[in-house]
Amino acid sequence: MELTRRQSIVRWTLIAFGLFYALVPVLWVLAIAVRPRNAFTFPLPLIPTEFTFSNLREILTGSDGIGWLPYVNAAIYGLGAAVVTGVIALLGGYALGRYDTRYGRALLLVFLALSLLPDAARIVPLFLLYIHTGMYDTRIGVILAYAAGSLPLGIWLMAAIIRQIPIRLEQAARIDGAGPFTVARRIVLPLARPGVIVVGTLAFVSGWNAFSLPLILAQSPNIQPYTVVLQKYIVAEQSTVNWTLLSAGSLIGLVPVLLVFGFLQRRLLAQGGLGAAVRAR
Amino acid sequence: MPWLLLTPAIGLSVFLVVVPYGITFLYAFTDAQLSSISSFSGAGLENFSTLFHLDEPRFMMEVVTTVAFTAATVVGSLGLGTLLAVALHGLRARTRAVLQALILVPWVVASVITGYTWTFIYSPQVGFLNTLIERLGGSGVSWLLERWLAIGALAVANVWASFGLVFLIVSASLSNVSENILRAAQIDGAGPLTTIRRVILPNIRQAFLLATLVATVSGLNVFDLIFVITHGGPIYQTEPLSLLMYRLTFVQGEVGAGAAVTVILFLATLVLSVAYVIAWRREERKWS
Repeated sequence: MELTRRQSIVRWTLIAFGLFYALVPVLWVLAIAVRPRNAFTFPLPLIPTEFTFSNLREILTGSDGIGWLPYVNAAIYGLGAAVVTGVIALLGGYALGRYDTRYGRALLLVFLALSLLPDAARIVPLFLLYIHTGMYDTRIGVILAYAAGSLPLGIWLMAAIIRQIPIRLEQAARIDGAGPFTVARRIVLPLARPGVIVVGTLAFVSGWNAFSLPLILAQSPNIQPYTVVLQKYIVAEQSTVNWTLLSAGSLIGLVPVLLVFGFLQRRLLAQGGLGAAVRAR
Repeated sequence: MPWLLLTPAIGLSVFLVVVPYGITFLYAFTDAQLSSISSFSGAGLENFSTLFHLDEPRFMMEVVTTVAFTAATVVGSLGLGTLLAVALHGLRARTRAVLQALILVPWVVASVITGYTWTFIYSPQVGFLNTLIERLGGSGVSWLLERWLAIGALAVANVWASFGLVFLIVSASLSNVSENILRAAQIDGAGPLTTIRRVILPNIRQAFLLATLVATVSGLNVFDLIFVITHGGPIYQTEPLSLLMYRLTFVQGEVGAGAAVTVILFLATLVLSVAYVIAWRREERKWS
């Protein structure tokens, strides 16, 4: 669509504002994280003049830091949730995508509704369940809580993706004498793989990012993820905040997520991800 | 065969969503305490009536906080997400991909990291806003001390975290709007705003409804962000219902009352979702 000069000024002003709003907060955290601790003179220069990696090193290995363990825990939870969600969503999504029955559609609607329940709405119910079943303060409990949160959207996406795989391919394989397991392994799995990666990635990211669930469900310090542990820098005694370490710790939490989305962006946005889900309706 | 494949999914959802909510509904009508969670007796509707007679802070004040915060979030993220999606529509594919990736950065940031990030914006000492103001010769502002200013500041932070999803949903459905309709509107002399309102929005209404619902529900249940930035303070001035639920249950140990708040939030979410399904059906009928 051709734009007039005025329209294109409006367009680029909007885009510039969007970029500023989206990126400045993250850049500011970066600017604080790389500043040496003795370089805090107020008001701060907007762009740091000295750079150091010592804050990042301090957070992982120093005596004031939180160490590697909280990040490892978050990775365990993210990966665990990704595997559980990926497998279960593939099975369920296949059933709902292929056998298009009335019950199936109703069930899909129920799953869509479940996917709307945010983490915070689930902390009290899960706490009560876990207290009574002995799953409180266990790693498995945390992983299953994440997986249950990611599964509904996962199934919804998988069903949409499975519907895009031509059923003829499966029928042809059956006619050629392939059993159901061969069809699953040789036809469905390779074609559904991009979808499984999308669903798994979304589950990993929400597991890696989660805060309110582990805040409640993981009490022992050695199983808490970094999101929870970083709090110690902000609710410290005289409400002083350890700015450098908090920013360095946040930054380390951000990097994996940005990398994952950077690598998978096109796939997430285009064929597999939300595009498909929106179009499938 | 399909039911066998669905068993794990249904099992997990029932065990980790339906059952826990069932337990919570039961607890909402008991006097259970955190210290003795397994021994309690029925309390009828007492938890709910106690809520409405809370004194410091008043329950209605928390409702107002929640609704105002949610409304600001919804309006802000729908507005910004839609405008940006439209602004990026029709750019060269490569330019668009790069801009899209940059604009989506906040959306992938963990909500708790969003909270930490925005404390770095609003902080009186190292905050970006006050640093900027002081560099320009002004004097700093206490962003998080006065109730409405603080709620506004929190909403700006939450819009930051949530407009990306609106942007995605609207972008995806915009790519289904035929280029010819847009060109026709332009030939008829429609400006950008008229084009958005009269041509684009009616064409992407269903996606827009979905985005509204998602933004409303997540605003209603906001937790991480406010927990980290203000913790509901100063003196409960920015505390929404989700933090009240947390405080009653885990800080004051009144599990029954906390469960009652959970039930209220759940019912509000349910009502919104049903309203949404009805609106959706109506749209579908209109266009088919």
